[in-house]
Amino acid sequence: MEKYDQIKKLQEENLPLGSLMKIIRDLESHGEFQQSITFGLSSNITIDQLGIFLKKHSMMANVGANIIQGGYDSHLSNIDSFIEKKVDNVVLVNFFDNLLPSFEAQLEHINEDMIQEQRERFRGELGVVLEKSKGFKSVYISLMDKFNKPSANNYNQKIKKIIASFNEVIQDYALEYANVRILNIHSVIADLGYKNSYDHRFYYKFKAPFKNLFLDRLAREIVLESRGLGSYFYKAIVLDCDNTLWGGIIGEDLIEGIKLAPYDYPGNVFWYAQQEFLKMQKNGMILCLCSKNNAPDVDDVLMNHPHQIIKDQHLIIKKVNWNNKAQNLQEISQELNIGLDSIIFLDDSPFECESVRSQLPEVKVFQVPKNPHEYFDVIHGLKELVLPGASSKESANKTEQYKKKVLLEGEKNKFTNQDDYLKSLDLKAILVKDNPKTIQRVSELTQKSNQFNLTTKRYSETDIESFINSDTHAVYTLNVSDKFGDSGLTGIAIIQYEGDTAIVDSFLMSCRVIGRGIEFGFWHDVVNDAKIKDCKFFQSNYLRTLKNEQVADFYDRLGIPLLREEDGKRSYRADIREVKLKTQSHVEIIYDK
Amino acid sequence: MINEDKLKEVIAAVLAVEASEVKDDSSSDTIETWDSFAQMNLILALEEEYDISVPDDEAANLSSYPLIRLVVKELTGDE
Repeated sequence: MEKYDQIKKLQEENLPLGSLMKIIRDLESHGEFQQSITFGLSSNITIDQLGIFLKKHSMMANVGANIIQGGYDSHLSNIDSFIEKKVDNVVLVNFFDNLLPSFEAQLEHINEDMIQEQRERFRGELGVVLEKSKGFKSVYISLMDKFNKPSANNYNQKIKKIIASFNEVIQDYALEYANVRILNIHSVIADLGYKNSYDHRFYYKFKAPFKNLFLDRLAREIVLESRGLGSYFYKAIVLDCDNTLWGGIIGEDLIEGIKLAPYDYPGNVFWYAQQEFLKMQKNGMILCLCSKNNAPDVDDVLMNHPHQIIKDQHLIIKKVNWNNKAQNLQEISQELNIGLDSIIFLDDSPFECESVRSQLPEVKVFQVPKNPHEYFDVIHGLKELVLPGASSKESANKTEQYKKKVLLEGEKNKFTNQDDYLKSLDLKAILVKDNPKTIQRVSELTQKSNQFNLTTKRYSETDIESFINSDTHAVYTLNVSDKFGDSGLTGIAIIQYEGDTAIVDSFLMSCRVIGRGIEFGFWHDVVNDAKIKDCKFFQSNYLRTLKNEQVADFYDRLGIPLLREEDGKRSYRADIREVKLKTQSHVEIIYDK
Repeated sequence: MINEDKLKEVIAAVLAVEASEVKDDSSSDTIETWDSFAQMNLILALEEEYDISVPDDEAANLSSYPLIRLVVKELTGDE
């Protein structure tokens, strides 16, 4: 299939996932795109599928897309890696119910202070994330919605209010950071319906609460919001008159006969359409006319029809003549000094539409449907192209209100640097060595941890038990907590003592707690223990897998000299008396011997 | 009878491999891209393609080509 046909196929509704992935793969290997753009995705849920649909909608805009999936629930470290990988745009999706396990269900019995604390934690972390994200072209951040089934009772109203208060945090930041774009998922869910948006099955199994239908639409919104990722920028709308601005034909029906009254069908449809055109004009679009008519007839309507909304003063150029429309459009493009690809043309005649499409393929053509009520959808499609961010602009009157609020709150809860934020968390990590009670959990973590795992060795409970009981190994565990609560056993280091060398056999942490400096803080104690065992050298390895790219340079950052690198294996070795490991001050490490 | 070529094509598309690489001994252990994300996509893709609904206990069984074939046969009533 040719690239053009494949892209056309992408536009089909209900394209099965398998076919979609195949077309995307083919296009990635053969298709050439004008430009390519890199998205970094970060979320506290699984949104890998969004990557597929972002590729789809980017390709439909003739843009190739690379997707960098961030680690699960670790915005801070994800942003660092996005910066490093030079991504263009970041998509942040926060899912309310997963801010804490089944957070919505907890809301009923936890007290107001606790909710307030969570909100401030959310504000603090998001502030740091967005401050770090200033260099990205755009940061798309979704609002949060209720996951539990909608119903009309008061209890749900309470949850809604609490979620709205978290969303206000997001909206406040959107006003503060120019590159932040809000994704209003409420309107997507309202359009698709609850059942088509949420997936309980995959939420509990894979932490993936959104259906593909929803993610497809969300990706579409992102691409629209960015004007096709910068592939188009429409500046002018050129309108036909008969059966476009009004119902009927002015040359035949005369001014008394055309349909434009707001109280009757189909006049009300055209009257509504004119209201929308005017709104676009107020938002900076240039309006022009291109109509095959006698100019005085059209002028008569513009000046004298009681319900005409679009007046002479709103129109920059009027091409009311009997010339070929393609020729008129070309003149408009020259007179306005804008490209044909910045022009949208709207006409009810299939003949005129087709003739413009074939002669001037750069012009975006919309045809007014025969059934007036379908005009609504066409106008909606037009609005999506010319008014990106319409949803956020509609709430523009809230701007002042927000500004006031930000002033009132002052700098109370805002951290402009990560260290201040981390310090405020009162991070504690309890380090324990060879505790038999941890065997089950340690084995489990070695089995399932992939991303922050330096060697990805999988161990059974028996393995761990034998390490704990032997002199040649030590199993360290980390229990991490902060002022908001306890994350439990979330870090493991297994050390093997071989002659005069202490070797880090395994080191892994749960993604939930990384990016806070804990991963560096406890090594001092581990090295001390090795000294007590008369070790002279400290050695560690990184073994590359498909999933642990983010820790490839971990030991470099920790401060152990690289010994050699081959076939995805990096070996490090240091003299134990001389090694200077990275230190940090905001985590309190308590070594519980 | 289910068309195995078609089944392999669907699986291959989701796992981003060639259809010829999906064989009787293929499983999440032999195909690198077969991770939990691919697993989720496999379930969705098979459900769409065959208009079936994979029950939770069967979903865990879809970790090799022969098991997928078996489950799809069972669910489509195509023995």
